[in-house]
Amino acid sequence: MPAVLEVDDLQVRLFDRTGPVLAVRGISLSVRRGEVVALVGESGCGKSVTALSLLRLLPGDAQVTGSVRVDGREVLELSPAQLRTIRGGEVAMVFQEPMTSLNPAFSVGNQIAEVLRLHQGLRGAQARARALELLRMVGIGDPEKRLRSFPHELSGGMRQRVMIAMALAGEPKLLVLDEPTTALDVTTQAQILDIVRDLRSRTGMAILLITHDLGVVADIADRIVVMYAGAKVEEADVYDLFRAPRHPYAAGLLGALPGSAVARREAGRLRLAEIPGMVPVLRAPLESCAFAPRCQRATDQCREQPPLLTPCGPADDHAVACFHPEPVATVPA
Amino acid sequence: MTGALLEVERLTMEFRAHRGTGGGRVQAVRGVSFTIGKGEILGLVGETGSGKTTVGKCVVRLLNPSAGTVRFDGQDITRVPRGKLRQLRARFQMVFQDPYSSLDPRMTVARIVAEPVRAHTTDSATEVRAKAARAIERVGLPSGVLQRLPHELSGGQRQRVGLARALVLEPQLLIADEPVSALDVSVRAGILNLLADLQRSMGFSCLFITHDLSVAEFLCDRVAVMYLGEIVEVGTRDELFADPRHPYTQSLLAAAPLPDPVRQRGRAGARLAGEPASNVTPPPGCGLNPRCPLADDRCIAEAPAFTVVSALGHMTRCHRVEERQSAQ
Repeated sequence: MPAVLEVDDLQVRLFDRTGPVLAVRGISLSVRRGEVVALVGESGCGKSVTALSLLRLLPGDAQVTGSVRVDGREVLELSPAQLRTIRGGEVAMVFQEPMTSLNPAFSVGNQIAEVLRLHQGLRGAQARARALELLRMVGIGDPEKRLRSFPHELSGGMRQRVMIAMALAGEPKLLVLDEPTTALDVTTQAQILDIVRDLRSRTGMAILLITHDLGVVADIADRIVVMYAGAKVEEADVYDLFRAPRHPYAAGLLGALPGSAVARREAGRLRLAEIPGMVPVLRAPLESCAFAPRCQRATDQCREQPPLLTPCGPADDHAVACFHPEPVATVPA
Repeated sequence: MTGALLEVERLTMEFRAHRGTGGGRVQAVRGVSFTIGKGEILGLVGETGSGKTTVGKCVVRLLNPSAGTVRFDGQDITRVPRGKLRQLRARFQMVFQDPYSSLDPRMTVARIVAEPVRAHTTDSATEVRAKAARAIERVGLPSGVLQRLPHELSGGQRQRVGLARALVLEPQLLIADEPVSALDVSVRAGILNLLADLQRSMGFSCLFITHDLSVAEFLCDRVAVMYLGEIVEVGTRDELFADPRHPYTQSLLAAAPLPDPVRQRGRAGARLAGEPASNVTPPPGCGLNPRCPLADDRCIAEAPAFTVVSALGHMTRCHRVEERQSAQ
């Protein structure tokens, strides 16, 4: 089965006051129908820029090359009019901050109806009926009343439900969730993740989840792509990666979390892994591994040439970009 | 507890509500009591609006509580006059969540860290500089940062500067309000390891306020869980995480995803429905009753008192727990 989303060698160059920034450096990934793929990394790793470039939502001066195919169609070559039909239609996006993504001047019903009118051709009573149905799908109680509510009258969790309902209104094939629960409390987060799980099994949507939270990934993703400094450093089935991360950065991220399977104990006390240094801002192509300056396993080879993504089995979908990946046996049973 | 450094009793804090909400009063903290022993880290855990930050601010008297007492080393700091409070403040210090807004952008790191020494001691300029340099070294920063301005530092480095400033006077109590919430995990790990190390070497007590249960479990000796302005459960870290008794604590623990798919997906997910009630008009009886699957008429009629459930002082406020306990 062909993937709903296929990203091939995506490169994004942004510009700040000091010049160009290589925000995304050759990302390839695919998301199949009914699959949840998590794109993971810390601040500045390029995960949100990747997400925004899927719908060409980056600033006008951004240089984007490579290929982004949704259902076989090349997004990077679409005209502005074609883009409008895809945005909120075949591809829907939910952002971190539901308050700034909703229009404060229009009621919830109004905003959902707009999507239904543009992408489904529904109007009047039909649109209203469908909007009510969507609000029920995302677990909003008393939907008739909520249709008339304005965003400021809703709690953060409720707003995020509305955002998901709006995303669903266009019956998307691909749903992109960019840190959808980061601004929410854990009990609300759990409710939202339940909704996402339920939607995936009911609609068979492909879901790309952008997050820094490995707990959320462990809860709901099928596959995980770890990004560092704009590039993919590891990709694996979620169980494989959490059990035996191979890239030193991925291993460091997991070891930094209390409660992960690979966290170490020292003299009876839990000791969290630290990754010294900072994520670099890259302004020119690198002739080395971007992680080498922070990596305890780095050798001269890492400082002289960039590692390519290579399969690292036993599973055939596990790949790592590292000359000296972590041995599988370091993981305590 | 006789060895307590901090004793908080029936602490209550009310604010006037925003206009347009009917002019009621926000009951941010409703009769909270707890103690922190010498050298102990108490975690105060809760979600947005639970009142945990307000408790922290009342403890250092950045807010004057509406009622209740806060005794620090035997002295009631809610009633002491300003001058005396100033003296006491040298002995309890605070670290804040946002390392960007809590450091003066025009001051060098050396001045920021030296400021408490200047304010609270009569040390000579040389001694002040030496203390600041020592504090910076203690938090694992190179001495070169002393001459830097906050904007030249990373988020993790700034949080270390905040910590150096709080610890420069070697206080007996540190109040840390979400000190790692704004940081990426790899940086966060460094700060958490550092806090654990410093506590062991310096021996201070700590009120650690966080919404992140895994952080509380990593760092704290005891944990208190807040909901709607009240502490609903408190216990040692091991007892509270292994055997949470209050329905809110149970659902909070169940809702926080574990970074391990095998354990995470094997968990039974008892979800709490809905959202917390308004703290302008909290529900009568137990604050959780509108959301609690175990609630009955008694939970609406009467607020539960604490039931002690272990020899180590694990206790919780829930009628169901109390009923089970007395049936035994």
